[in-house]
Amino acid sequence: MSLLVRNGRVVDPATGLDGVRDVLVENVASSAARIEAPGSVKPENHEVIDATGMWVLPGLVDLRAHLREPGQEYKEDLVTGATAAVAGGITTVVAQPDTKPPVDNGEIVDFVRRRGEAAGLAKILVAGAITAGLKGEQLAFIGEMRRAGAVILSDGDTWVRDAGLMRRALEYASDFGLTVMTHAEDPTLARGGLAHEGPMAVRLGLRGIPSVAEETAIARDLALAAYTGAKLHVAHVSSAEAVEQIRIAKKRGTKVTCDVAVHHLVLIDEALSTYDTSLRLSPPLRRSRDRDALIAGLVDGTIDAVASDHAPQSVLEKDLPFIEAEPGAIALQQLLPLCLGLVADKRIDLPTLVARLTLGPAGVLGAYAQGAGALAAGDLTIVDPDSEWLLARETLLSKCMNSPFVGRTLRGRVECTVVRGRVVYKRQNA
Amino acid sequence: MIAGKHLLGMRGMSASTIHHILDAAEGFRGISRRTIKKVPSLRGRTVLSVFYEASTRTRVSFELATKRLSADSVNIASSGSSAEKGETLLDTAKNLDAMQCDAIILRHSASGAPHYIADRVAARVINAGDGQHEHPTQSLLDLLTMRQCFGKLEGLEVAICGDIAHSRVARSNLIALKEVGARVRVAGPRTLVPAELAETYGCEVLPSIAQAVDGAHVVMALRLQKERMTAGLLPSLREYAIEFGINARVLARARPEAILMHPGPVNRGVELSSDVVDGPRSVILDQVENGVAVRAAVLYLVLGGEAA
Repeated sequence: MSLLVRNGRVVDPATGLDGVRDVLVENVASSAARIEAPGSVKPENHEVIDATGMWVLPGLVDLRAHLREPGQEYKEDLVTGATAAVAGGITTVVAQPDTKPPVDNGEIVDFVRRRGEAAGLAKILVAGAITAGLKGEQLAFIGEMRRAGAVILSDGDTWVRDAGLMRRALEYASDFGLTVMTHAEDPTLARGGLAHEGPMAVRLGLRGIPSVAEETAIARDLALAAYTGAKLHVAHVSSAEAVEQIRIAKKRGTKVTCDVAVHHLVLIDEALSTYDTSLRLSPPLRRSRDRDALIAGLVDGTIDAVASDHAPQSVLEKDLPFIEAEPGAIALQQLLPLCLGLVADKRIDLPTLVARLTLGPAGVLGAYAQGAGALAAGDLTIVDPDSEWLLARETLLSKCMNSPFVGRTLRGRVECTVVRGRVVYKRQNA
Repeated sequence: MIAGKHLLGMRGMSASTIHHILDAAEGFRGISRRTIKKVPSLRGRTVLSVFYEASTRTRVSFELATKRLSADSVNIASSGSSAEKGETLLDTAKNLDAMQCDAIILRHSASGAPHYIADRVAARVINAGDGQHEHPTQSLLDLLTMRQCFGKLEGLEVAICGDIAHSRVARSNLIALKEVGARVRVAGPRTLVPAELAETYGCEVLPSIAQAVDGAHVVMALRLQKERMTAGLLPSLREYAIEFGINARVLARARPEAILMHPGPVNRGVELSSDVVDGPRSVILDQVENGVAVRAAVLYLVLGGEAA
């Protein structure tokens, strides 16, 4: 059986296409998709989806989600994470290694990968730890993890403080074609901080995390990347100056890529005025000018990808006074609608945005992306751009509901998600 | 007005409400000076004080205020309560609420803690100091003291000196003083004065304590916590006293009729020299006396009474 998606607006950054077409995914085994003129494929023998008035995109690729399994299954597991992902149109998710125990050896990489495959929803790719136990003391079993299928290295929400160790990590990872993802934040500048160091933190009496905590860390990591010639990925860039640092480094030829977390594209620190703990994020939400610079970086390609940075936290970590709450917000289901708000506000055009949600993040993974990010791979997301929906407890598929958008109406709804030519999500009543 | 509402902070409180509370406090101040220091205004009401941080002045003055209004009061400190058994703040608050108390007075080290429970309990919540955020009753007693000394608040030049960054008293006063038309200048070591202070509060940040004190009606010093040394914000208490402390020489730069205030407890010889603490300009003990009156007024108004 093959799948025919008819008459949708097809946006495929890999081929530069933006127009009304039919998409034919031949079969599950090869899962190769072909793009055809509308109406040119006879509907017989195909499962047909009428996408008239809808947008047909390559499946989204998310470089950063904390899926919590193994160890914290009360927050999320690989099945609920993958379920929320496909409902959000995300077909490839890179699971972060900050689980309990952390993903720092081949066996755990293998465990996560197999659990993801068994779920049969989104493709779960695995980020392995940079350092053993995420402790920043010695290298994790990088070769073994690569052999088990790790696609990138990351120490989760911890910066590798030891510059000498980071240098060796970059060098050693490059032997295995792995990029090192850095959570660039110097803890000596950020320690105890809860919100961006600015007027809102002053007003709320919350200790600040200055932008410079991020910028000094990025400066060091960029210098090490340039020196070693290894590939560096800067996770969730949040400040205007950080965007500029990466822009300059890219011009100089440093092998660096970066992403922005979706909440930083749509929110600023002023939203914190009610001490809503779902807005306690790492890095913190910054000021309006930072958000403007992030959008500009996304438009000009300095920022390669938008990540969900999905970080489920239960009421045990969030229903607390602000300073006692853990950082993070869930975002898999909201990623695309929140980004589409930027298109509606004319801050970015649709094809560029789609590129940063598909081809951009796939490019960060290089060959390990397994063709993701292009329609030809047979992963598709069909979205109704005008449909509005309420983000509520009942509509959330994650185990947690730590989102600042709970109770809000979002515009743009994923109608159907296809992975390897197989429908893995279809909206009820669609 | 504040009748029937929580008192979480000075933010959003109008000048007329502030003066209304101060007027009520003046009435209650008379009660404290009688031989029989008790009126039946809140008889039958129950007030719980929940203090997760050490406090002498605030806790005792709330308790005296409660007793002088004839309400029943129960005090809970974090040691000896279920906080030590791992109960969350919210669970504690809900349990206390279930016992049908009328007001919960909360002191907590987390900024925003009273805001967090206020939406979730039936009782009125009074903020007795939350982290580095606000301390509204301290601000009100400071304003009452200033108003008594100068007969007005509008147009006063107020110098707030020292550790602004960690001070909830400074924050509440910065908001309230601006609202009532006073002008605030602040000064302190740069490590203890947030860069965004002027932008946030519309105050003036001056480069030295002496410049801030120059020509001021009110000089307010803040307590310096010893933890600031270990956090690397200051080299030593001795150096702080020399460079940023207020002594008679510095105080002489203020107006002749200027008053010296401090929220307490004072580190003698650090932020204030011992002689100025006890000197003629010091109104520190008047502040303490006004604390009882202001807290009585707040309890009375929050629990629905009319101005005395």
